[in-house]
Amino acid sequence: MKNDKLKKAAKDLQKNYRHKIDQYFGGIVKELDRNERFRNNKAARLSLLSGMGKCLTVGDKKPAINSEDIFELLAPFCLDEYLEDIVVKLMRCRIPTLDFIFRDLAFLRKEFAGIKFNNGKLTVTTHDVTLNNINFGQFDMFFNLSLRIPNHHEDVGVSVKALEPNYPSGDRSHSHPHVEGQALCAGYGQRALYGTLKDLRIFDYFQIVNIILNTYGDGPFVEIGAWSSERCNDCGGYEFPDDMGFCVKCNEKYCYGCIDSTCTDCFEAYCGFCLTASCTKCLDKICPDCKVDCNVCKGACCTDCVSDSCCGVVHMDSCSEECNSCDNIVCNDCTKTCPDCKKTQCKDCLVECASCDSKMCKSCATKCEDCDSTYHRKCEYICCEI
Amino acid sequence: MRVLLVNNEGVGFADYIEVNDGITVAELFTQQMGDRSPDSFMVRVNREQVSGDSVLTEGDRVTITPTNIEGA
Repeated sequence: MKNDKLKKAAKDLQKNYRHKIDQYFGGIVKELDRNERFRNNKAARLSLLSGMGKCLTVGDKKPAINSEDIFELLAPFCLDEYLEDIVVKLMRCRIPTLDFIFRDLAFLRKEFAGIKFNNGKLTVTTHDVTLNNINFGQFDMFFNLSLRIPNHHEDVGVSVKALEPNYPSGDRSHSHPHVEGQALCAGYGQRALYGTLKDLRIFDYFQIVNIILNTYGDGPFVEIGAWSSERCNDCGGYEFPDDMGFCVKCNEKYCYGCIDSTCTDCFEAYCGFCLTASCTKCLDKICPDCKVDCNVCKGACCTDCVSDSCCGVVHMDSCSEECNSCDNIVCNDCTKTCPDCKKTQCKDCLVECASCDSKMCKSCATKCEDCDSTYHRKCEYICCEI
Repeated sequence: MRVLLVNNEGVGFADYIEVNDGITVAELFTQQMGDRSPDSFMVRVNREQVSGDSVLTEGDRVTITPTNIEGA
């Protein structure tokens, strides 16, 4: 912004500020007019109005009237504390000279990255704001005299806008720990900012706002750690990197609540999308690499639930039974039921009836003493007839 | 001589004060801030950052601002 524009801006700012002060004084006089003593005591009223008029002179020097004189002028009216406080504060305002305001603007142009003045709104751009090694980028800081001059420091509102917002994960409201939307919470700077607004010390105002942006304080809207967090690929929650793990299959990041599924055999960590199979018997999670399919029931099973193969094929121990003759565990495909005693037998414990060709257990079989043929007791088979 | 002192700490202060001729910035800081550490403040004279041994002159504007001001 060139000097001629700075001068024009200074003129507009001074004019707007003076207009605001006039408006305030007009408002105060209306309030005072409600006071009976003010209406009836013409001499005291004239003194006060004259004193207020002196305060509207331009100058960056000491106010034309000091606090003791102000209180003396107000004494006859017994104003309530709040109104008296407003009158005193506004009578102590200074309307700075054009030169003062111009120098403020010139130094803002020198110290900061940019300065603009449009429609009564002064915008100053900071350099990059960095807190705890996190770069929040540049901010536009606004000073708008079209808004009212606050009566109290608690009324001071500071407006800023991030040029290239750096939001924490999943949050689009906070471009800075102490900024919500475009509102900067001034905290400990509130009172000092109020002082700068009262005296139109524009350079000090922006300097203080810049310092607040560059300070990480207690009680922010969002803790600065949120800018270091990452999003879980499953639940969508946000965690710090140290509180997250990787799925060994898809290599995505997950919070520990979603990555705590491990394969019951190899104990590797998988996400819920990659670890979908469960052992049919014990229901534990099992990864694709460790899963075996039972050849009897075709269900998935883990190594703990797989029985020693009796016939060379994999089967779950729940798909097997104990042979009543030899007590061996055999898969269901290898078991038969003795048609006589109805008990489960393995293949090795079954013998064939020489008469009917069906198989029975050895307990239910009878052997011919002569030819060693076996047959059902029920089968009336006469072999080796005498 | 008179200088305009602006203290932007806390509630803030902005008024003319009387000081001795030839007083330096560091001396004025000690006078106003006691044993507070100068490293915690930025002192400007007529908006410029200056060293502690700079000598003040009549009408100078001295601004003392904390280097850290916490928002909320």
